[in-house]
Formats: sequence, structure tokens, C-alpha cells
Amino acid sequence: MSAINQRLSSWGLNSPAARRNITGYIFISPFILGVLIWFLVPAATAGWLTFQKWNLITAPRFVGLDNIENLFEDELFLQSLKVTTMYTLVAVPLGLVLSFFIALLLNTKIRGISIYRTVYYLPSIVPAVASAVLWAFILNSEFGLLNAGLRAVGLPKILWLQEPEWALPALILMSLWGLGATMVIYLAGLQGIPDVYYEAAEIDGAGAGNKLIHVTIPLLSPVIFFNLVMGIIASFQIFTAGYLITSGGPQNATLFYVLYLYRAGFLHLKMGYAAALAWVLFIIIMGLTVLIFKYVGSMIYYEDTR
Amino acid sequence: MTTELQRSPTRRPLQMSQLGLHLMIAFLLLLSLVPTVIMINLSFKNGLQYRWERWTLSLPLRGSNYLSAWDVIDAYMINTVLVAVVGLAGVLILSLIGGYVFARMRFPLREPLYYAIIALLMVPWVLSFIPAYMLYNNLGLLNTRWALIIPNVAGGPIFGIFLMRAFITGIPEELYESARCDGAGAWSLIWRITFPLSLPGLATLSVLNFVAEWNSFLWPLVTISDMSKQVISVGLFRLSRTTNDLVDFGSGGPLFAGYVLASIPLVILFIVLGKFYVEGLVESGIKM
Repeated sequence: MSAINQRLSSWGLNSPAARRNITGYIFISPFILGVLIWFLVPAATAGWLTFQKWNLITAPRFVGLDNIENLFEDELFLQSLKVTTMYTLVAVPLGLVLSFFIALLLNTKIRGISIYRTVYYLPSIVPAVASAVLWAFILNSEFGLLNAGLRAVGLPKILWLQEPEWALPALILMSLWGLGATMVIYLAGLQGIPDVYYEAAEIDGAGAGNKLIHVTIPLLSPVIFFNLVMGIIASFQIFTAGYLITSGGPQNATLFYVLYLYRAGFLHLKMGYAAALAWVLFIIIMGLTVLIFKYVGSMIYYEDTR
Repeated sequence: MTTELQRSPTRRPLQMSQLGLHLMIAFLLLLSLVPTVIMINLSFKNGLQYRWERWTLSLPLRGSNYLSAWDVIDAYMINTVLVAVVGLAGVLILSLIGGYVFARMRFPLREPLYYAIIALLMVPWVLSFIPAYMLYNNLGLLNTRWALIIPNVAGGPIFGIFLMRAFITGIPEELYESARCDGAGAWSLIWRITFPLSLPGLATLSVLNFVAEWNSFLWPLVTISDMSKQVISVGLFRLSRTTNDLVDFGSGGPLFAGYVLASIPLVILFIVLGKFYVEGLVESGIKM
């Protein structure tokens, strides 16, 4: 240590304040180094790959903007973008509202509520691969449970996974069984709202609806915002369901963006093209997040600004 | 959860009779449990039952499916636990230190650095996917457990620092001041004060990280070809593919038993840490 101190004082950095400064950087440096080496350098390399043609076997060859130009003529790229956007537009708001509603229900003080909460979380715990196979069963047009239910109430069967117009709705329906984590984040937010706000509202004669609109939702808006942002970021990267249940079909109706990227890279060995796809996805996600922060972020009520 | 029961019973966000509320919750829970119940039900069937009584309960229950399943997936489960626990340890340490640094320490450019880290949450994992694959390949790390541990330890603290910073900000400053008066340095402020008080936050992070690792699929699928080192998600995937013929033939029971077994570690984790998990989220007061 004394050697370090000597070195520090030779740089004029031995004052207590400067030492504290240095300590902060030293403490955070293992993390920064890790992110740089294993995450940011590869991400930057993907930027370089965007301008190369590379099949993993022969050496990369510079092709300029070819990969990016090809993107806009690639119907599958546009299709995957459309599918992913539609999925996000429906699944994210639907999930946000439903899990909020369930969190409200599970925040009431009735006997056995903690068991209810655990039970509600269970479907989110089943490994994604297992849940995919399970849902392929439930959605199966011949022997599936969902069609058995439709038959029982006299409705015609739906070819959930064979009809292009039903496949995406089927996967959105399935996503509603994985809301446990979102719901718990809401629940935590609800528990963080002090009782006095509700008591004050009651004194002012507020009913349940008024309390929800004027107390719960404003105070919970940072949490709703958090779930919205994280939900959109995650939704644009959805992969497993499309890969395992529908393989992107039928007729590319569930060709999610990352699934297409994976195929471009690891199936067709077009690494440069896949890297271009990855960068476009990054730009889309970043752009969306900035827009959300700009237009929705200003509506968020922060109790104590840090 | 007992603390809530003791709180004043006057607050009822939804003015409904207790019975109606119970019914509504019960209905939603039943609905949410359908897939899980189906999975468990299927896991106890023999070939014929599986073929003809797929959605109903059939007796006797065939418990031996679980033995057949365990024989196949035991190595995958152990591999995943090993990789996830080692990775989690790294994530927790880096997130605790990082959270402390950004919540409590003062240094130039602290805020820009923090927001740069949070901005990383927006970077899709596929962006680094292909070059990272090449990097691991060049370093000879493909087909080793390092290929599964390193990405988690490197990337996991991004969200971890976000969560732990929020959590540590809530620890009263007086505790730190009195410790500083006793001559405690930054290192002991972290381990003697922050660490014991951050356990709920660390529990939250543990649940989220472990569940994510347990479900990690695409990366292990491409980096690990030696099945003796493979993780549970890919193991289950291979199992589903190789038993496809069997499924058609009508004996998917063991497959679903495997799914149930693969869910158990997460169920245990959630039951053990569930209370702290919610507490950690409450106290960190998530804000972006």
C-alpha cells in the first residue's frame, strides 16, 4: 500500500479528497473492465463487421455499405421488423395493464395472500423451454386444450399455430402467463405507498376509483414507467417462443427480429449481415427509449427528486 | 407478509366484498395455474394414458417417470446450478461494490458514468453475440464453463448496480458517518455496514439473476457442444427433440417429468427468498 501512496503523492493525489476519488474509480474498475472486454469491445466489433462480408471460414472482406443497402431490399428483414413491432405493440401494453390489475388484487389484505402471490408467480418460474413445449401442446389444433375448450362452448376450432393470422396472437396469449416478475415489481411499488395517502384521500371522501386515479397511479408512475421501458427492450429481443414453438412460421408470421438475425448469422453464415441487423436493432431500441423518456418520462411523478 | 396483516385494515384499494375479492383472485390464480397443472398431470402418465387421456387425470400415477427423467437431466441440472451459483457470486460482489460506489462515494464524472452504465441496459445482447462468440473461440473458451460464467459476471452487474444503488441510497447516512468517525475505510464501510443491510436487495438480485441464468438458452446452445457440460435449457430442448418420435408414439410422460424437475430449484429459490425478494424491491423503490 505504501508504494501506492508514494506514487499517488508524486501525482499530487494524496489529499484525502483525491484519495476518495481514486478509490471510487478503483472499486468500479473490475466491473468497467469486464464490461469493456466482454461486452463493449464485441459490440464495437459488430459495428466493424457491419461493413464486412464474412462467413466465419474465409477472411472477412470489406464490402462498404452493401449489408445496409441489402437490408432495405430484404423482405424478411421488413417482415421480422413488422412481426416484432406488432408483438411489442400488443403484448407490452396488455401485459402492463394485466399485471398491474393483478398486483392491485394481490395487494389487498386478505388471509392467505402471500400464498396467492407465490402461486401466481409459479408459471413465470417454469423454464422457458418447458413452457414452450407445454404451450405447443395447449395450442395444438388437433388435441390441444384451447380448442377442446372452444369446442365445449360450441365454437369452431382455430388452427392457432398453422394460420398466419392466429400464430402471433397465440404467442401473445402465451406471454400473458409469464407476467410474474412484472407483477411483483408493481406489488413492491404498491407496498411502498404509505397508508397516510389513502387515509387522507378517504377523509376527503375519495372512493376506490378516485384513490386509484389520484393516489395509486401517480405514485406508482415511476414503477409503471420502469416496467414499460424494460418491457419494450425485452420484447424487441424476444427469441425463444418463436424459435421453439413456431420456428418463425407459418409463412414467417412469427419471424421475430432476433430469430431472423440468428438465422442470418448461424444458419446462413452471413456474419456481416447479422451484425448489421444487430446494430439496426440497437438503434431502434435506443431511439424508442429516448422517445419514451422524452414524451412519457415528463408525465412521471417523482416524489423526491434526487 | 405477516407485517401487513398487522397494519391498519382500513385501507382497501378496491371496495369489494371480501368474498368477491377472494373469488376474483381465485379465478385468476386458477387460470394462471392451468399450464403448470397440465405439466404436472402429464408427467405422471404412461404411454397409453398419455395418448388417450391427455387432459384428464389418470390413475395410477406413474411416479417412475421421474426416475427416468432424472437419469437424463441430472448432469444438466448440476451443471446449471454450478455455473449459475459461481456467476451469481461474481454478480453480487460487483453489484454491491458498484451500487455502493454510485450511491455513497463522490468522485468526478460519477453521474455521467452511472448513466452510461444504465444506458447499457438498452444494448441488446445480440449486438455483442457474434463477435463475443469469436472472442471466446479465439481464447479457447468455447466448450468450457467459463463461456457460461463470464458473460453473466460481466453483464449481470449492469442491472445489479442499478438495483443496488437504489437500495443503498436508502440506508441512513448516520450509520456511515458514525462508522467513519470510528476510522472505517471504504472497504469496511462496504462489508461491515452496506453488505448486512443490503441482504434484501441482494436477494432480489439473486432471484432475478438465477432465473435468467436458468433460462439462458441461445448462448449455451452455440457455445457448448459437449453435452456433458451443457445446461438445463438446452438439455430439455435436446430431450424434447430426441423424444419427438416417442411423443408421437405416446410416451411423453418422462419428458414432462423432466420439466417439473427442472422447475423445482427455482420454486425452492422463490419460496426461500420470496419474502426478501419483494422486500428488496420495495426498499429499492425502483425508479428510472
